[in-house]
Amino acid sequence: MLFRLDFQSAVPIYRQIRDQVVLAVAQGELTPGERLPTTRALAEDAGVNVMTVSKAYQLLKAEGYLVTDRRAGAVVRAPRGKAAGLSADQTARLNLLAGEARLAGLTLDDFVAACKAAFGETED
Amino acid sequence: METMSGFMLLTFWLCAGVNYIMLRNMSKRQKGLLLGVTLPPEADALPEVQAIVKQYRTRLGTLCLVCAALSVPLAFVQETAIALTLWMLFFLAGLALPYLPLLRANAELKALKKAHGWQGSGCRMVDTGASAFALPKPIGLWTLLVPLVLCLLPMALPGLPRGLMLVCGIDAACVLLLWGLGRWTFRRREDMVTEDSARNQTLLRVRRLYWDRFWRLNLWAMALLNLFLILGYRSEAAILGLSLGFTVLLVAATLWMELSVRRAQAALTETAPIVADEDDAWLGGIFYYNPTDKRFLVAKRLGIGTTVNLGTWAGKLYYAFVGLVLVVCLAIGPIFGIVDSIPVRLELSGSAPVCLVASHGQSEKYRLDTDAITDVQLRDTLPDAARTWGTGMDHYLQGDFYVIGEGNARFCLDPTQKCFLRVEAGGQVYWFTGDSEDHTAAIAQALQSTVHP
Repeated sequence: MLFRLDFQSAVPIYRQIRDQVVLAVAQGELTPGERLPTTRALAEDAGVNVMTVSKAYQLLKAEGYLVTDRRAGAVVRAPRGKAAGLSADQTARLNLLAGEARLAGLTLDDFVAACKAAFGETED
Repeated sequence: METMSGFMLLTFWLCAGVNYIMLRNMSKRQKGLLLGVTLPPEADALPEVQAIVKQYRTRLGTLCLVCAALSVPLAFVQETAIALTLWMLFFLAGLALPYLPLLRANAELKALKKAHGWQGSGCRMVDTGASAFALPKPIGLWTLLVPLVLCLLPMALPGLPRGLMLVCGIDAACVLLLWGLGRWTFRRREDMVTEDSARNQTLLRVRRLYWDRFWRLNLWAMALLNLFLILGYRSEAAILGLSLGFTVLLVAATLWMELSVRRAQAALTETAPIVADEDDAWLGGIFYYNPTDKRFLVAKRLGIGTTVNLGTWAGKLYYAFVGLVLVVCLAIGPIFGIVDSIPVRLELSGSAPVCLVASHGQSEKYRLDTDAITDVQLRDTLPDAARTWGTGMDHYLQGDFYVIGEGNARFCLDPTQKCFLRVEAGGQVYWFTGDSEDHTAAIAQALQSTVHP
């Protein structure tokens, strides 16, 4: 996968790495069982601290997108199946996004259409 | 023309030629870069861009030609200290000036890029797919072994002068260093410039393939040069010629490799959209300054070279060191002149035993017990000799020399004088002069009466 790290952005680098891995898994770019580079290799390629990558991987592991193994390193985990709903954190982020869309002048239909398009991109 | 000046002239032309080829090569589109600026392919057709490139080539060519022409009179400066100072200054100026057209063209293209809204995202790209595949392995231990043995083997030769022992040791250390660097450079994964992982990986493979060739070539070159130096050490001209010839070959091979990589990189990215744009981090298209990048060394965007990140403290320290080295280089000529102006001295000191003492200024170099002297000769010419260890200046030769037709000897003399004292003591031959010819003759007379009463 291709990481794009924006150092001018207010979003921390570890968060950018986490978000891009999640998106890549959702879009099928990263498949279950696929191995991610080691924290050291990714940190060296990206020119960032090893701790930054380690933090991103730990977050991904805690969220269930990765499993880590001593021999295999970080491996993409298979989807967990149907969830009961969005988590509190995800709901909060969706609320924020909906608020931003409303303030930007989007109608409900526009917002739903945008959500459908974004969701569609993650379908195989 | 002095040998040193001729050597410097040839070296300057070689460096200036390489400088010109490399700088001119930057005016061709490679990996989406033109004169160090990432531009979309449609930019090539713009008259403004074409005009900038044309002006750049003209300015660069003119400047390099002027520098090459101005270097010729320098080769005829007689006084070594002055010649050395002038050459050091000229090397710095002559190799730095051709970068001015690049800095100017780079700034003009960046302004044009901004005006046309061709700014990239500025994001750093990392393609994990490119480095996930099997890549060429770094140079192994067996590759190191033969060149290392070739460097160390001459040290076992009986009677090898200590200067050459040192050369062998330094060459062996260099071989080890090159091998280590070769392995280390293979750790880097660069060339993440397109969205296509297969293409990025091919770019990486090309870089590694040529890296491998580059390190192998350097290992063998170092070992062979060491052998040649050992074989031809009896003549300074032979050493100079061999070193220069070898350097020319090595530079030519390296240049060929660098241009081959660039050609391959250009061909591989000709049709692919370039997504990496780090122009803001490349000052003038040459210096990498990126405080958000933790790496000290980063790969250059073109070719196989590596550069230092000025945004790190280690990078700043490195450039400060380079600056210091340049200042020291400029001071070499004046220091050389001061040392060369100190007179050599020769005197008989003490009463029993009387000693012959050869000094340079206040620094004593040799002290011989006159009882140990077995032969004294006063000569009006100094035979041809090659330095194996020590100092060689216009007015001062000191150390171990190989005298053609006579063998090894130790010198502490002013070669511009017309009178030389040759003494033998303890099976070792010495050549001396005093601060004047009359003084040397007086010392010789006194010694002859002692040795042959």
